[in-house]
Amino acid sequence: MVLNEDQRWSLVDLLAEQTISAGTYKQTAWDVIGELTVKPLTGIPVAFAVLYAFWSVFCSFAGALCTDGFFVKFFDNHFLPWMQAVWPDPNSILYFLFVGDPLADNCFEAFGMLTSGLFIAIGVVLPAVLIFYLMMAILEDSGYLPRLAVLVDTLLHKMGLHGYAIIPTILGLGCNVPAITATRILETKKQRFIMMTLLAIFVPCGAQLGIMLEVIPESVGYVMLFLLIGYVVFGYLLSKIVPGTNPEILIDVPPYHMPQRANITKKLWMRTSGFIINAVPFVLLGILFINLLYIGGVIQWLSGVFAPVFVHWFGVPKETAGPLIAAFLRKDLAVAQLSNIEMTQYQMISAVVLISIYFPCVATFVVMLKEGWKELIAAVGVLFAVAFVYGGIIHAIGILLGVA
Amino acid sequence: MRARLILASLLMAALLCTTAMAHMPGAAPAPDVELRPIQIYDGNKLVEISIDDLAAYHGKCTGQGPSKCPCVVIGYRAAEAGINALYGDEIPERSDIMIISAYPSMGSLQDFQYITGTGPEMDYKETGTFNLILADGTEITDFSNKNIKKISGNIGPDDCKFTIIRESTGKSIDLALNGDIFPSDYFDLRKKVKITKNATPEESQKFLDEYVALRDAALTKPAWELFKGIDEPPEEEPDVFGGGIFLSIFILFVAAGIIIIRRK
Amino acid sequence: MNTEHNTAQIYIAALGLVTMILGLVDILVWIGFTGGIEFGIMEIAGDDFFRWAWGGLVVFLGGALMLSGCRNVGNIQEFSKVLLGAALVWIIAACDIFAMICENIPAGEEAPEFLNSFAGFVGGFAPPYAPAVILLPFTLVIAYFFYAWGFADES
Repeated sequence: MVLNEDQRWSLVDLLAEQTISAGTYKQTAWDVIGELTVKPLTGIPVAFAVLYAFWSVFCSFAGALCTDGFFVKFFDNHFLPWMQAVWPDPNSILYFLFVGDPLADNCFEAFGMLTSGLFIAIGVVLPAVLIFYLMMAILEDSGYLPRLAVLVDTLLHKMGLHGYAIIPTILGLGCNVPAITATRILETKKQRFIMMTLLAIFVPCGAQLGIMLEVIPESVGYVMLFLLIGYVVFGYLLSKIVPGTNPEILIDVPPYHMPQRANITKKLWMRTSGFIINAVPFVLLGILFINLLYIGGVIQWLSGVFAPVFVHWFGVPKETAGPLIAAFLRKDLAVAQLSNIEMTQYQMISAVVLISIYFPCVATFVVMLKEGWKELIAAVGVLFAVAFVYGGIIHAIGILLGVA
Repeated sequence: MRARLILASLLMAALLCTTAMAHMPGAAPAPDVELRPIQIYDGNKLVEISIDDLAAYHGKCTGQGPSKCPCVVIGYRAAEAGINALYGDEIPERSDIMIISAYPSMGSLQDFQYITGTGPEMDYKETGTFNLILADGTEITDFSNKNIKKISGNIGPDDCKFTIIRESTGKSIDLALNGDIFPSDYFDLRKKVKITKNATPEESQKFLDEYVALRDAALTKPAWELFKGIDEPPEEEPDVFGGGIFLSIFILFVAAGIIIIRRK
Repeated sequence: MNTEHNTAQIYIAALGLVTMILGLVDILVWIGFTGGIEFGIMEIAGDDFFRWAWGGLVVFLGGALMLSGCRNVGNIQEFSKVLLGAALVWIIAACDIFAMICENIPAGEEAPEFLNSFAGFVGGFAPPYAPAVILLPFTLVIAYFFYAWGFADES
């Protein structure tokens, strides 16, 4: 039977009457809270609290419980002595490559591929990344993340970005690799380029954060402060220089709801396994490569060439030239190496900030390449310029404050 | 095509840069120690004596500038440990402190003089007592540089004995420096370098290394390792009662919360 | 109902005020106006920027939110502000308790074994506590109001 238009609409009305019930909308407490957390006056305190919780849980779980509590003991007291006993010939090159310094008494300083490599990848970075992704998933699923995006939208717009750019920024604190991929949610090329560059320069990844907490826990706050200032200031400058548009996008803010366990576990599994497969091999290969090159002996030469720049312009001891240049492969390893050099706290802060901003780690480099090689070269150019300028500024600030 | 070439050469350059990593050997930073100053009452005034004050005083007396030589450090540690053991959290009166040292070295001697207020060029309201009585019982009263140097020529680790006495109660504590802190040839080298001044350059260098190591050890080791006479403090007992109360209240609330939410 | 609202109003106002003061003290101690404070079972160490400056700020703002909403507690808008203020205190207290748990599970650094003894674990929760943890039970009353006054119902 074919109905004409009027008949069809009558049928629709009939069905609707029987299935749809209308009532008045009563605002529930959750709705009100949802609104309150979006408005700046009440929303910003909540954002502070949420970010506090993020950081606090991260430090407690990854730092106090997993790394310091278990992995350090396991690797230093059981794994390392076992490796040192089992691997033959402490003076051989293979021993040096895979087990590291025969006199080392902890995995951190041994620098063998299987000792430091596994310790850093499994003992320091894995718990950090795990708890990070767990909290990120909860934030996303509960509906809070879009509200955070709305709150920071005004500030980010001044930097040529959009409120949603907060997502790659937070992701970048876990690992820069998925964060770079996440820049695809931004609309224009200009926004994507600025975001990518800022990520590569000013957002330290979970591995770096983990190592920083291990090695220089008292200075981490200052390092993050410098990085944050750089993020905002250089973001603003970049938005003025880079051609392109920065349009508004509408953000859809869902109501609060309880995160679903299935969703969380799926996301967690996906992201963590992605990290293990993509980033961990670079840690191991990085140490192996560095050790090989150390045996090759070109290290001291390049270190000597760059030493004047580091000492006079950046104000750090000349021994940092080596780790700073090697930060290309793994920044977290470079921070670890810095801990062995004697220097003042301010120099340490400068050196760590320099490492964070100076070059993305190889894994990030590869992902940026996949997004577009033209942008990559431009980003690298910006990077060197920024590292040079900002490093000099930090040194100047230090001189003004009298601590450099 | 050209762009790709540029990119490739950039990559190669960056890769080569990685070779510039210097494998840092463990260059240990200077020992970061927190040494409590010695607190005493001089008349009504609270005086805090830190290791830097003692080093400065030693430098003033010898005319050589402040110096934390091992003897100054050892004297400071002995006095601090002794006073802590005898007085606990109380702060002693300067006049109540009596120190007897068997160690004839200018550094520790001047430490004890400073603490008891019996040294030259000092500003004090009351004095304690300080005696230098050697291991064989001879009392030395001439604290001049020349005399002490002469006597110190033949000292060894067994002379590092100190007695601190709390005069008001008569309680005393005997402290003997643990001999294994000194390398076996330390005192012989010291005699050659400082007293008879006939050491070879190698011996002088060796003495310098041992001197630095000794000073660092004296600064960083805990008092019960440095001295015989101080016991290792017992481990603090965990407060199970307080913690238990908190945990039970906490678990109760969490359980109540879960039950209430389940019911809704 | 109205008397209950009135007493609740006074209670929340007092709580908000105390919370604000404690948050402010946290920040002041961190800045260095005085050394660490220990008062009964409460302790403000003030040594760590993150816990005391930032955390103190959050507690302060939580108190301010509670205070701002206490005028007309029956109204859902105002009460939600109070609830949000309490939630801020809950977040800080929960993070403190989580940190206590994480620090007490492993044995100390020098001890060779991995897990802390049961006595050590329980003993780690002994007083003194940070202000947010002490405020926690008092703020739970607000959660009670939330359920008892029907704000939680969705119709």
